[in-house]
Amino acid sequence: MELPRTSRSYGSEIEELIVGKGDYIIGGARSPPFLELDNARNRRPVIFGEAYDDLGLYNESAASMFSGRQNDIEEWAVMWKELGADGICLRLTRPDSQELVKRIADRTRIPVMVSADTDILKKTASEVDDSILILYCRDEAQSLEMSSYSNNHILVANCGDTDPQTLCRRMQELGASNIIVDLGKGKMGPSFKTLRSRISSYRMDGLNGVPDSQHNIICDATPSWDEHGHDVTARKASMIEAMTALGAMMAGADVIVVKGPGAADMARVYGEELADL
Amino acid sequence: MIALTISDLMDADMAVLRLSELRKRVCDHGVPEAVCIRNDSFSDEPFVTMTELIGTIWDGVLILETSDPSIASKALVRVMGRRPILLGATADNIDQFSMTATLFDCPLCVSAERLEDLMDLSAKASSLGVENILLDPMMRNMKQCLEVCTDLQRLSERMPDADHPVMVRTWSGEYAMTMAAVSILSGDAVVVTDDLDEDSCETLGVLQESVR
Repeated sequence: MELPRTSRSYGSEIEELIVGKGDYIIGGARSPPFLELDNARNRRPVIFGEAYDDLGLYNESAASMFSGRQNDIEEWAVMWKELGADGICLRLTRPDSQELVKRIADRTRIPVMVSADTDILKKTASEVDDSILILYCRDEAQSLEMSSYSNNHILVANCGDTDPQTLCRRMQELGASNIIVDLGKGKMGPSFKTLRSRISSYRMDGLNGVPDSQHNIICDATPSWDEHGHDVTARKASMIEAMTALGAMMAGADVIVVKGPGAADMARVYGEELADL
Repeated sequence: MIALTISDLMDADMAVLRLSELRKRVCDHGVPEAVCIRNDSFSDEPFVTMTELIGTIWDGVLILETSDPSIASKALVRVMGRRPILLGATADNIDQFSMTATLFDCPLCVSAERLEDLMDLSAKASSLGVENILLDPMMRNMKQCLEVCTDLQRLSERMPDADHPVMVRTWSGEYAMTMAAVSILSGDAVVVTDDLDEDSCETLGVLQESVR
């Protein structure tokens, strides 16, 4: 039986972003995720491992996986590099965080993402100028406020329930030049279906040329750990986190943030195999 | 739907023990929903005995995997009314398997590596009266799983012969869990694994609940 061709082509491509010291490129999708049928680019999503400067609320099962190096955030960041992460997501609280970010960027030479209060983000954005950071804004208000202070770093448009195109447009009007969109928390449960649908819909809008839809998509899979009790094993939590990452990547996420090294490893391998690398 | 496999070479006591463990997993995690009985002995007696045993203690979906339609028929007599899915129909035995599936009113899974051949088998089974058909494109890895499941979804929009559930046959361990996950995320296929540990069953159960 002769079958009809099912491959499709799209009128637009997702933008490429240069991050870190200039030697990392993310994004650039020209098809639904990984789909060779539609001439996918052989590039996998990038995986960022998170590190905290304050372990007060950090999950104990996750901490056990870092052999004590989580007690020094610089060592923790270096460990993420050794584990093969593409970048580090720093969750910072200290007022002198910009110095720490510079040191970690220089020492690891891999892309750095920063999540912090607005004052810290502003200071970091203005003082770090030899590395392109991703400033991971926590909510819509911070995304808008930081738009005037991005200093050529990449800003995350944290959309919440807001329409992503509208938020990206407003951020650009305020001065943001490079944007990645966050469409919701990466965790299993009833919200995951909605998240995947939002990611997929935004990606298809981008490929079909809808204005303000060509930005890359980030998914923070670390909230998947919050769904477990404190007695969860690191293995089980990592498997759920890896499934969350896989679900987000297959919907169209270009950047994934993970808590556990096991999930980072699994997500990277999944991405490599699906991207045929 | 996730299925775990029990070989007809397994000792009966071991099989009972295994099933009680799987029933507990279903209660705890919702996975596996099905048990696949595989005819590793290539003879009828062990397969028929194992099918009868499992049919009495497993309430969920049954899958009978054999390459021999006459062995399938003998086993089906022992689980009348359960409508197990028959797995094993290929170009070599499609006529007999279609007759068996029609006679016992069972869903039939047809297997072929090329989609063209798969569509031919589906059309043939349909013409011989099989009402419920599943398609097994014999996928070997997660990349192939994503590509072929997408291809079949798009074909089904244009061809009625392609509009059937997909079955994915995979092995055991973490790669099998990943194949199952990609299958679920690509369109809710029926996944038959050799084996999965309890953590993998829980993970897939959570994933299924979250994307349905």
